[in-house]
Amino acid sequence: MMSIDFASQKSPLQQLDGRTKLIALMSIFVLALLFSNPLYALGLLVLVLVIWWIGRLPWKLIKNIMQFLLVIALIILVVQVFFYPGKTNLLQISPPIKFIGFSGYITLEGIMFGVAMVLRLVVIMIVAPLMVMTTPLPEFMVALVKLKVPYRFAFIMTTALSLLPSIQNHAAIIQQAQLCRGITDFETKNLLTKLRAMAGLLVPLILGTFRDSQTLDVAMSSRAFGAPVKRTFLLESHLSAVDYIILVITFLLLVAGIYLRIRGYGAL
Amino acid sequence: MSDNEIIRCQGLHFSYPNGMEALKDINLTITQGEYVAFVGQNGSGKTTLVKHFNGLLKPTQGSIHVFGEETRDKKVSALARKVGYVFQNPDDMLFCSSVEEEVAYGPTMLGFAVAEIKEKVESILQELGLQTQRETHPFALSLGDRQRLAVACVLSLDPEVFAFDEPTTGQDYFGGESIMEVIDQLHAKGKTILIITHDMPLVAEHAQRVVVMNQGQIALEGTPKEVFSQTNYLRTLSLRSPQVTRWAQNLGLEGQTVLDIKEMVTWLEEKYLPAPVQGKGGLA
Repeated sequence: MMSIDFASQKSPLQQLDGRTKLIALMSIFVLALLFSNPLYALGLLVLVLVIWWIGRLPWKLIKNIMQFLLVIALIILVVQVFFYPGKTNLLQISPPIKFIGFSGYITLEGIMFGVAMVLRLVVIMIVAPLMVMTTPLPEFMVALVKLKVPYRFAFIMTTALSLLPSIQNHAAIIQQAQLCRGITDFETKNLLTKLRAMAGLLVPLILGTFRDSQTLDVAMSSRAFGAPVKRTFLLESHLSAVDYIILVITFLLLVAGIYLRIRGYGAL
Repeated sequence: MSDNEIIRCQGLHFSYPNGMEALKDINLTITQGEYVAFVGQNGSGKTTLVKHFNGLLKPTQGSIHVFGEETRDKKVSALARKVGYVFQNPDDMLFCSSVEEEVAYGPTMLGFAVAEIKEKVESILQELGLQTQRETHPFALSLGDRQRLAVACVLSLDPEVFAFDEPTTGQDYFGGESIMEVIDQLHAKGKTILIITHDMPLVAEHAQRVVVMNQGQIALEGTPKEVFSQTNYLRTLSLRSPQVTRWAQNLGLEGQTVLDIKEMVTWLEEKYLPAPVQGKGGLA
């Protein structure tokens, strides 16, 4: 799978302030969770895709994310189609099964809710790279701190993000090392065996990561992390006119979304 | 293919998925029972090349045959029985809860009989001096012992070829010596040894053949004497011959490359002592 890393491609999204992007990201999350009507969710998806296009992120990544989500999406869809208590019966597939609350009918509302849930999931999954891939980590950190997120928490979040690629690398090396010990399980097509082999991978990976984090702890402390004074940030972030415009649009969209939802629109 | 040829690379190229070309047109043959050192600065392609020998990496162009078979369609776990690879960091290889279990893991995966596994584990633990620590958790061992345990894990598959990625890095002098002793013993038993290292005195002392890598290509190849005689060329590759070799070269010792102190002493004695005096030792 393609890694979700900072994209080198220049794009207007990179010019935006981290705070703007973070607030927009959170607003899209809220909007996605607000509506259970597939049409509204679809509208949101289109909006996110337009932002993706403006951000010039690789379309291949969306394809990868979709492949990754395929099984989960199918399960969600099937479960909703079967178990959503809809009114408009379309097709009877079995007699009512009381103890699991299934009426025996596939309903229009069930299908619509299932589709909405899947679209919601897709929106939430593809909106995250929009932030992560267009914001260098130090800017992300400054954005969090300026939004009054405690510095230690901001540090933990950004460090976790920055360590991901190196953990990914380490996992690949461990897998190679274990293959060299005659372990065949990574090379099988049997999903269960593969999962078991992955569990064996976790022991050295987690121990190694703990060890690394202890080293990081010492390294940071020896460089005055947590000194009892207000730290300086080399990066100054300023909101530009474009940032303000986007924040206003985001705010209006959010208010409009909440208003519509209160008035009963966007639900099934 | 000659009878005892075990690895043959022909026009081997390798590029990483990000497009970086790590190996360019490698042609190399390794025969049974050789002791080959791969040297070169960081990023020169040593490890990438050696990882081709057991199928961890597959060439993007050209071919590599191991024991007469092309690695392209071979699984690493199948090749692991022929070419063992000991990683630089032993911690990447260990994941069981005791030393004994760790050594037994590979053979159990390959479906060996229980009695055979027990016997094998016993003899390997003896051989590597780990028998008193059989119940210990691998991560409670010292670095030197973890390194030996990593060797034990590969040894339990009984491969013909052993590849070691920087086996002495991070070890104290005696730790390094003891691991080299194990490697030399394997070689004495007829195993083929491939060793990736930055330690030139180690190469001079142990290897029979040196492959110098530079920017993904083989820059120089030959016996340690042949390779270390080219001090100036090696310097352009950011490599240095052993100190004693350079000392002899600076003293103007032409035509013969000195690899260790013993050779140096012999040469000094020949050059500067008129004739050995009966009953007295030389400079040593």
